Amino acid sequence: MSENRSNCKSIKRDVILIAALVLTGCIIAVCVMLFSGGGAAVEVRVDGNVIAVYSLNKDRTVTINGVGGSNVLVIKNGEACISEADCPDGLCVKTGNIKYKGQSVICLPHRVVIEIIAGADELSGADVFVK
Amino acid sequence: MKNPVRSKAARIAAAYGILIALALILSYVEAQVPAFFAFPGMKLGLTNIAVLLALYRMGGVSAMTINLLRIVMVSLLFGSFSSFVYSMAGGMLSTVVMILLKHIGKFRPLTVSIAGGISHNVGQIIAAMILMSTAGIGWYLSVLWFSGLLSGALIGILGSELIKRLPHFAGDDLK
Repeated sequence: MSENRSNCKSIKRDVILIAALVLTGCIIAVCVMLFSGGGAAVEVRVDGNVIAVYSLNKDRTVTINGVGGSNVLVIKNGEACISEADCPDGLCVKTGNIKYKGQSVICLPHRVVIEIIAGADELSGADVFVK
Repeated sequence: MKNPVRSKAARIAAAYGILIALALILSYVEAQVPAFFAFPGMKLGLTNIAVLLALYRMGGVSAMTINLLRIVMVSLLFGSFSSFVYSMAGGMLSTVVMILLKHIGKFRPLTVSIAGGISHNVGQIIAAMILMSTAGIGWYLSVLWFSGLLSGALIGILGSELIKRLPHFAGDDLK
């Protein structure tokens, strides 16, 4: 009985906490939408080092040599994706298309990250940049 | 209620065994379900049922112990180093959050599970940011925040039922 009573008492606190968690999630989602407009370029990193930056305006297919394998990066219609990879889990392929600034496709086994960066003005018209 | 096992120590030892075995099996079951959601990192967190039961019927130390052993064993059996780091970051953060909410906040299992689900995903994102040295996956937080909320709620409902139906799981009825 006493347990039941204490449960009733705490229902309100539980509801408040759950509501706060939902609200926090909404705020995070709104912030993400506001601050991540469409990007203009995709940055390729292998093992934390920037390997190349490609413009999203030009369609192309590039093979990225990651650690212990390769991933095929496809840029088409302003979107980027990994179309093929020889990693064991294939999660990078399943991630699908990305186009917003800050979005990324990650291939953990090959330590490859492709990430959308920079608005159009920041890229100063360069089409491709390879380090 | 008649129970054949009269020693409380034996019941607690058995409870540890059952819950660790259950957590291991649920980890395995979950690993067999191919990424059925569009985003990597989204999952049901079935093992949290065992952790939740341990937390409410055995206490915070037991919940932490069971989750730690589960993560180490699962990583040794089916995982890789990176999956170990992710599990650790998510598992430890969520367990700490759940213990705090239960013991200090006196919240109900459902609420504790929801907070646990969210903090698990937050922990994994932090680990991913450090591991991949990128802050760019911050946007992903909004997706995983809600997936953690939903899976936490689902597991919370299941866990609450289990907690209710197993009042003397760790021998609380014995001396």
